[in-house]
Amino acid sequence: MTQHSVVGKSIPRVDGLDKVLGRTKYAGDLSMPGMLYAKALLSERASARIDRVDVSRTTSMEGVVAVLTAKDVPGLGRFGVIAQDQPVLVGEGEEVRFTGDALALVAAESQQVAERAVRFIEVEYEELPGLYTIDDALRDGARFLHSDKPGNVCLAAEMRIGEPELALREADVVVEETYNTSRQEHASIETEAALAFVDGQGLLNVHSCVQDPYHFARDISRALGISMNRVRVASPAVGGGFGAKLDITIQHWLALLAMKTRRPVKMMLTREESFRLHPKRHPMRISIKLGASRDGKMVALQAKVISDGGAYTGRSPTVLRVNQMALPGPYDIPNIHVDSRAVFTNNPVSGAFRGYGAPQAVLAREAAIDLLAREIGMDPVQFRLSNCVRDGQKVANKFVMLDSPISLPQVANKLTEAAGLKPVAAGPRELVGRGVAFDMPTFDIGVFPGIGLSGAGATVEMLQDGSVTVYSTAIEMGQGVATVLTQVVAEVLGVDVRDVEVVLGDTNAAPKAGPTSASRQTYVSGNAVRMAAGNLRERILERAGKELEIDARDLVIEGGRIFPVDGSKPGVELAQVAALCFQDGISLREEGWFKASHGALQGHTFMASLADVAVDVLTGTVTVKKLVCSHDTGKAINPLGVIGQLYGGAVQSQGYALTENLLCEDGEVRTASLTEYLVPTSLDIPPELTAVIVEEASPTGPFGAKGLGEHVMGSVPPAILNAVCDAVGARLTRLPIHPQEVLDAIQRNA
Amino acid sequence: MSLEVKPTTRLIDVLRDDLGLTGTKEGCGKGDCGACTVLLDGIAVNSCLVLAVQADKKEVTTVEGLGSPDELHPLQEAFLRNGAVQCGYCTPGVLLSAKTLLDRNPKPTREQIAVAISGNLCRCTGYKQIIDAVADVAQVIGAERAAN
Ligand code: FES
Ligand code: FES
Repeated sequence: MTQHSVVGKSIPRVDGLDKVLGRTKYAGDLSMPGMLYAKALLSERASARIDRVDVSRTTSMEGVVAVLTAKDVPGLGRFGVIAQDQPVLVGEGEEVRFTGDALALVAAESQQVAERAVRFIEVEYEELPGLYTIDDALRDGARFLHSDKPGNVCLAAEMRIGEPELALREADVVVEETYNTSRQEHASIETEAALAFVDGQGLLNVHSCVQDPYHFARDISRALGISMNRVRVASPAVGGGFGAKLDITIQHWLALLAMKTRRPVKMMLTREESFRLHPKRHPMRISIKLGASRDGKMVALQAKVISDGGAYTGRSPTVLRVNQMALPGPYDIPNIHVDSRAVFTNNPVSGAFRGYGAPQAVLAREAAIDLLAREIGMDPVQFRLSNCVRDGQKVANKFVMLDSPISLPQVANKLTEAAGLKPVAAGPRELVGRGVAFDMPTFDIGVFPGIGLSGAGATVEMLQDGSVTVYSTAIEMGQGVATVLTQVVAEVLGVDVRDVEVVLGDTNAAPKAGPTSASRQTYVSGNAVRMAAGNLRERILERAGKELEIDARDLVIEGGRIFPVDGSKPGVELAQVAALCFQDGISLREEGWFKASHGALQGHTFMASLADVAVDVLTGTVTVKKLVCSHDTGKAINPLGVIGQLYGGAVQSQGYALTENLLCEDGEVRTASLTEYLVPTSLDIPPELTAVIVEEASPTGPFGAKGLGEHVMGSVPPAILNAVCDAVGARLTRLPIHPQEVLDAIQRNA
Repeated sequence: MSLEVKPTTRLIDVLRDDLGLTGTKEGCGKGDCGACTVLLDGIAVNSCLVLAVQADKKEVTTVEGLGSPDELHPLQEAFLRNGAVQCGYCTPGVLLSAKTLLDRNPKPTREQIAVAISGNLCRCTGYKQIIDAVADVAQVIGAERAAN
């Protein structure tokens, strides 16, 4: 195995020093002289026609500089990554479809004035019947939220393999259940913020915490009718994203206000506004049926999926497809039928959230598999392993390209090893249980035309003094991509990580990297950067070879020096060669472009989780005592960061399983604060939280690395659900697991 | 330093807007998240819930006062070493909650650490590496005391 000097080492994150010193600038920390403060008037209704928006009392207020309504929006006036159906502002005679629709914008000399001013805007609503559940939306005769979408169906998609009906009829054992999942909120500690201005060259600058700058530039340009090359989007450090910052929330408003006022304009959302505005994880109802032979071979999977897409298209179509493709998981199931629909409701828009539709699928599948294993009388781990796809086999899902070895047996081994023996009951008031779940996270790249996942570019430049700058529009939102790219470049160029500077997130500085989502940046941008650095390395060695009168192929770079492999000559400083290249007019700037193959999901991997829980029989409260995540991450470029992703994802998953639920009543968010919407605190984490890494190299990832950011979200919630079912000896079918339902289950069983 | 403030101005706004000390973050404005934690005479408070006038004649410690690039506070160093920082948005607040804990109780248990930072929400790390980092520093302090 090749020895690496930087890749594979746990190093402190490269953006860490500034972060612990409090020097890192996030969007909300930016300011400019002459800056205005903006506030949006959000709709008070989730479903209504707007009869009148009267801003006359606002425009004359002291300190108010601009008040804009739908009439002031140039261009298409709508935005959206897949369908442009979401209005920048809703105008008179038009319809509001959720409480995140905005009716007017104010820019003022101070935050206080802006906040006061929006309260003086008068709006007349004409209430329309609201669709607040998927059943409301699908009911015969329900009104259509979008006239071009009959039946309120945003997307209907089917997947059919083999003869599932026949196979289920002939199966020895069949289990059937319906699972419901909640609307999960990202709750990044940083709320959305942006600062926009038009510069001296007439270029519209938007600085904001975003996960895909090029997409924002495209969406803003289309919505407001300006060409893309007149829009620059740059993201400073992002205070957590998890998918919430993949799509426009406020950036188009700031762009519009900056264009109209010709002054810098800033906005930072309150927590309540943030809860209302950005897209959530799709609540889904999944009815699943699994069939197996008596000796434990799964023969068929049938599922019906309905997802609540909320008021606009958002990312519902792609989330639904990922959900569908995730359903069969790592198993060899010859007959499959999945019937999926995403529907429109007057709820908050649903969109991307760590896992992108897969966690709901994994929950239903892994919970149902437990039922099946129990019915057959097999150990749940053994049952899963014996049904797992094997090397050389094809998975049912034809979109998955099985380009790395099937490491699930190893992953499962490590899992059970790390977990140890099943706990015994701790007290008279407690029931304990253990649950496992397996998964084959398969995101990425290439399979959906149109949303730009396929290609990623990056630029690497060496300067005269031998220091290196990397330019990329990958986004550092905490997951560690800046450190990963630094390590890749340092490894290839033989320089110290301290000599590498990473400039991220600016459309005017770097090529398109596509979204920082789908666990794809280590893989795609890692590859792009590796290519760019590789080309640069060749050029440098060539020049050094000339200098040393040695064939370039016989030279190596290490520790900032270039010397012959055989040590026959003392060699030369890298910086010296860089200076020579500069003198000779040799370019030391290279762009790498990585394109994944179209039509297949590249970069699948395997993961398994195990949970031990204790259930309080008097209160129904669930406590996770032990949580183990075992993950094939491919080559772990920075193990410290990898472990951090696994821990963080595991705890976020625990929140999804046990407490997190964005309640909406008549379209209004009822849990719009961090005391009502419960994300895990330091007191909620399992006393034993373990992450195990299996490193089965990816043949196509940089240094064998695979993606990992989202993967943990799949198997942890079903592991917890299965553990609770094991503890109480009854079925539970809903996330988050509610103590009352646990109590009911205990009673049912008594 | 002396500064004139309006009676209704929050401490966080004076720090961020008037003094340009943007290391202190706002995540909710309601006392729910702890991102705005600063020390007032050594005690951790949510600066979004404190009026600036309440800081009159008191010592305010923000993350900017914790350490410098050349001389990091042991907690800052331990956070880096242990991977306790991801997006970093909660980090200033967590550091200050941890500092006030260690100032009063140099040898806390992991449970005591978890309690001390329980008012600081972190959505990225899952807290484990944060607790590791604080425990690391506590151990060093403990060892130093034992040596003296
Ligand atoms: S901003 Fe002060 S506690 Fe959240
Ligand atoms: S590191 Fe992101 S919130 Fe704590």
